Amino acid sequence: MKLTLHYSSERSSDFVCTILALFSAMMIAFAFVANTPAEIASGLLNILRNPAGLITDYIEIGTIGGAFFNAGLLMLFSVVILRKAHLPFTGTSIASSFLMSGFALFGKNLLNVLPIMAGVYIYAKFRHESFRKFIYVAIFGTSLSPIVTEVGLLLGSSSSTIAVISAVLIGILIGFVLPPIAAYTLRVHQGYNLYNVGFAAGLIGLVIVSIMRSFGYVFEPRMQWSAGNNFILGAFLLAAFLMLIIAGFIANGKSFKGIVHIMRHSGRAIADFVVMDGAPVSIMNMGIVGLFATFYVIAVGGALNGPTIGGIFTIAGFGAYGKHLKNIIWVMLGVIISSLCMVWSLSDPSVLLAALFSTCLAPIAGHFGAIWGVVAGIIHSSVVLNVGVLYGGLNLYNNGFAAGLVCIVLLPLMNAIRENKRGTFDAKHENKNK
Amino acid sequence: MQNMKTKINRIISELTLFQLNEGCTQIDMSLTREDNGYQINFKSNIGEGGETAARSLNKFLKAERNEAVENYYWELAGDDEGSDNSELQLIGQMIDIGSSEIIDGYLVIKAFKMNR
Repeated sequence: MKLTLHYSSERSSDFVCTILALFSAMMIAFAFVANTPAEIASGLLNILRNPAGLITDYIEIGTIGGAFFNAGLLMLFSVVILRKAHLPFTGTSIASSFLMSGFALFGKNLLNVLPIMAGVYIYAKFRHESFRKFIYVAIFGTSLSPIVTEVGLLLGSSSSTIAVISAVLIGILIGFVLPPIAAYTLRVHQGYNLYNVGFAAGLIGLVIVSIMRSFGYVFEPRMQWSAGNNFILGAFLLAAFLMLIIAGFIANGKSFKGIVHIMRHSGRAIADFVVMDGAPVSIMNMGIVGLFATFYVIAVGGALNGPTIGGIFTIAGFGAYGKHLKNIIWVMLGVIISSLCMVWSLSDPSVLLAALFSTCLAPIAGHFGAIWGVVAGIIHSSVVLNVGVLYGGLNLYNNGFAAGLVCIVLLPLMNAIRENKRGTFDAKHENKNK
Repeated sequence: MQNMKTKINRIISELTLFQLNEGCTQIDMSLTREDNGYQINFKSNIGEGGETAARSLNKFLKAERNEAVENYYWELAGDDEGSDNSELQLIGQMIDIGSSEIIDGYLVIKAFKMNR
C-alpha cells in the first residue's frame, strides 16, 4: 500500500489513507502554529497528568498546541495500526480515526488508550484470532480511557508502581470484556445507534464505577471548558473541511456528482459510504457535514474548544459512515426544540455536546422519517444529561450510551406502528381487490 | 473461523430476504461445503426491475473482504426485514467472491466464503 493523492477505484484505500495521514499532519502542524514547542511539551505533560473524565477540555489544560498535537498523534497512530493490519481503508476506518482524534481533544491520550487496546489484543489471542479482526473495536473501545487515568491518579499518591500496574490492569480488563459486549449490544439497537461502543462501554463503566463507589470512592464532577478561541479554531476547521471538500471534488473528476445521491441512505449500520458511493463523494460529504456542525456551534453562541471540536470531528468522520445533512438535521432539531421549553439553553456546554453527538441517532430519522428523528432528538437531549452520573463521567461516549437507551425504548414502538400501518394498508388492498 | 456456520446461515438469510423484498416467489438455493469454504448459489424469478436489483446487489457483493467489519458487525446480518439494504454491504464484506446477474430471466446469485 502506497500513499497517493491520485484517486482511482483500484487504489481507493491508498487515497483514503493518504487523506487521513494528511489530516493528522495538519493537526500537528496547527499545534506548532498555535504554540511554541516548549508550550506544547508542557501542555502534553499536563494532559497526561490530569484526570480525563467528562468534561475535561484538553485545550483548557494543555493549550491549543498541546491538545492538537495529542489529537494529531492519536489519529496518526490509528492510521498506522489500520495500515499495518492491511485492512481496506473505508468508511469504518475513517470514522474510527476521526473518533480517536476528536476525543483526543477531551479525554484520550497515548497513555490511557494503550492498556485498553492491549486488552483487546489479549482477547483476540484468547480467541485464537488475529488482532486485525478486532482493530475497530480496539480503536472505538478507548472510550473508557478516563478510567485508566482515574485509577492511575487514585493510587499514584501511595505508590507510582502500584498506580501504573493498576491502571494498566484495569485498562486490559476493559479491553478484554469489551469485544463480546459490543457485539451483543449491536443486536439490541440493530444498528440505529452509530455509537454502539458507547453503549457497551457505558454498561461496563457502570459496573466498574459502581464497584469503586462501593469501596468509598467519590467521583467529582468535572467542568473544564475553554472559550475565546473561536477565531483561530474556526479558521482551522474551515481550512480543514474545505480541504476535504476540494480533495473529494478533484478526485471525483472535478464534480459534485453523487453528493445528493448519498443522502438516499438511512445511515443505519452498516452504512459505509466509501463502499457504496466511493471515496471522493464520501470525503466531500465529510467536509460538508463538518462545516455544518462548525457553523451550528458558532450560530448558537457556543465555544469552539476541545469537546465541541471533538463533536464536530465525530460528525465529520461519520460523514463517511452513516451521517449526511438529510438525516442529522432532524435529530439536532429535536435537541433545539427541547431547549425552547426545557430548563437549559442551547449554548450550555452539555447541551451543545448533546446536539452534536445526538447525530448518532441519525439512522432513526433516515429510516423512520423526520418526525421520529425529531422525537429521538427530544428524548435523547434529556436522557444524556442524566446518565453520565451512572459512570462518574468516565465513559467519553456518553451520548452513545444514552442513544442506546433511547433506541431500546423507541425502536419497538416505531416498528409496531410501522407494522400496524403496513397491516392496515395490506388489508385495505385485499378488500379492494375482492 | 469462529461462528462459521452461523455466519453462513446469516448470509443465506440476508440474501433470501433481499429476493423476497424484490418480489421473488420461487427461490432455489444450494449450499456446498467445499474443502476451503462454502459456496452459496441462488436462482430466483425476479420479474420486472430485476436488472436494476441485480446490478445493485452485484455492487454490494463485489465489496472488498473486510474481516474486521465482519467480526464486529456480522450479527446484524439476516435479522430483520428492513428494506434499506444496509446489511447487503456487510454480506459483501463477509464473503470472498460474489456476483449477481440476470441469466435467462432469472436472478442468479453466487457467493463464496473461504475458511480462514
